[in-house]
Amino acid sequence: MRRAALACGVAALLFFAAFPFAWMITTAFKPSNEIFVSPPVFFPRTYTLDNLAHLFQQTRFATYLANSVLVASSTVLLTLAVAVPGAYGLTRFRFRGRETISATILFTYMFAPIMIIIPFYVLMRALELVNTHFGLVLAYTAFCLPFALWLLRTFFQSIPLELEEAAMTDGASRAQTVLRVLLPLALPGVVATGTFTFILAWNDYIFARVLLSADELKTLPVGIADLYNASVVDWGMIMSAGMLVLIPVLVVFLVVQRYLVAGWGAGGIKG
Amino acid sequence: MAKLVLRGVRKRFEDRDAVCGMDLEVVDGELLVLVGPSGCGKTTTLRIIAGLEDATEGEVWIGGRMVNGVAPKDRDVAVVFQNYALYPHMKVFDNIAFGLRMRGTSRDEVRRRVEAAAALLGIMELLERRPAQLSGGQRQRVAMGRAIVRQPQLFLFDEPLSNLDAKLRAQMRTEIKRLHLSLAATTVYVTHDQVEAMTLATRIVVMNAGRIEQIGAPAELYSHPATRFVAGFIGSPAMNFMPCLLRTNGAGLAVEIEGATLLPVPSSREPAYRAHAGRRLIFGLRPEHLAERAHGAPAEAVLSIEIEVVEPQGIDTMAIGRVGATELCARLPGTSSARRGARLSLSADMKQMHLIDPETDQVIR
Repeated sequence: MRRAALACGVAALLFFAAFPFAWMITTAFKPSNEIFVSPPVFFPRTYTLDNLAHLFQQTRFATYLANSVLVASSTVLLTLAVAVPGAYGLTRFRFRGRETISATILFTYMFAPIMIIIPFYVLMRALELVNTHFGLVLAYTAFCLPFALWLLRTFFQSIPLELEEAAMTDGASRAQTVLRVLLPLALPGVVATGTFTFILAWNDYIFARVLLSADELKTLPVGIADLYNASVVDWGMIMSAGMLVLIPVLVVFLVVQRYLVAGWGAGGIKG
Repeated sequence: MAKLVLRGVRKRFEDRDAVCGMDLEVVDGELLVLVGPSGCGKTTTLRIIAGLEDATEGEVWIGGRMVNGVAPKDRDVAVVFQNYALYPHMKVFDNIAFGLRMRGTSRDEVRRRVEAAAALLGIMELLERRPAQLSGGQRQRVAMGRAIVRQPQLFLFDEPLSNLDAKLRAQMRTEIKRLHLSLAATTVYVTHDQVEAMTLATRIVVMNAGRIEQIGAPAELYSHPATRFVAGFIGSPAMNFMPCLLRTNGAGLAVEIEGATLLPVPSSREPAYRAHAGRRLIFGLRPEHLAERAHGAPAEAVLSIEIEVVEPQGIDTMAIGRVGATELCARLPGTSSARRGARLSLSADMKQMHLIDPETDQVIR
């Protein structure tokens, strides 16, 4: 009885969450006359790929997609390149103000993007980085870094220091210790941090909106939003764009989920 | 293999000294055990030798080279950690091979040496497993394999057996001893377990509160402890301590303990004790130097207790009672018929007695 109630609840939640996506996907394959039919139909009577074709033929969707992939991947690489050494320092060295720094990092994450976007714009303009992908990557990195540091710090803390000490007495330099022992063990944490960063950069609208104006530089969220600005809003096309945006995120999740779920398990250390 | 020398090594942590001014020489091939209660600075000393901590003051010399400021990887020491510290993401083979690979040893040489070490430790069939698939004793062996495969100048063991159950601990203890006899490697071994220290050590360093209490061979520490701490720490069950008055007794000396008869001091000890006659001191005697007095035997040095607790241990039976206000433990043969509540008359082997100056905690010699 309780299981049945639980199942009903889960089903309701799932429906609530998944229905808009399902509607988006079916709409992407509907011819335009079916999109506005009343009463609405869920499954198209005739499936069409016209919407997808229009998307690539009539808009710069392919450019936006390439921009998004470039910006999101660069953000992941840059964030990890800064956060991994940063979190290592915060967990492996004793220095004055270490705890203050950690607390401040979390505090800075509490600012909503909308609060810092204007100062960011001013800063980027001064650096002449407005309207460049590099500027956008820098902005995303700055925004993701507090959380990335905090997450990695927690992961690094959970890895026993003895393992690194064993490696160092075994003849490994500090860099080798990090590469051969710490990072393989912290892989789930690094992957989680990378995934988080990727999704944040992939989905962001506001930074891209403010920092980029040249059409050929736009990322997907901005590019798709601008499809509404056409005199005739082509819903079928917009829905197929939405569907395509989901695909890379799904792929990322499918690839990394096994790292997220399984660590190496205990065993090297007793206790 | 090499000689290890510590000169005036001190380690300060924020507000207290973990190690205060340690001087030590470990000769080539020796197995030196650092023993003491937790927090006595023994592990810190080991970490300073390994280079995992920097000494606040003092010098560390390994094989004639001062290694202060030298990174752990360049000290040519191997550490066996308390919780093994095996790399969980590597197979046993790779765990053992790690140190060799870090030093750029050739593939064939790595294989040959890992297999030789594994054969020596009896873990050949485990080489393809991961640490998570091993039992505690097996992990311990892998950790030792990782240390010996590199043939370092110095072995450092940090309480390697404290995570094992009693039976396995005894077995591994024997194996470590056998290993040391066959490799003749200079070794520093840290433990809080005095039995481990006694069985393994060439020499023992007893530490307390960051200081060396005494250095000596196991038998020497047992028979001639220098301080009250060493007297109480070495030996199990611990030595009995009783407040006493040392007084002249005719031509000789005797120990007067509240609630007991006078215990005559053997004449061989008189020259050392004479100067302390009339002082209040601590009388120390090990449980094994008390024996059940046979009926009608001469009442030379007798301590009488009412038995409160009997602890049979197979070969021995511990009888615990009180003399005056002080607890006294006697180690009796396993065949003893001692019963709780019975009165027990014990004859003390006064040749084994110790007197401790309560002001300095030094054993009077």
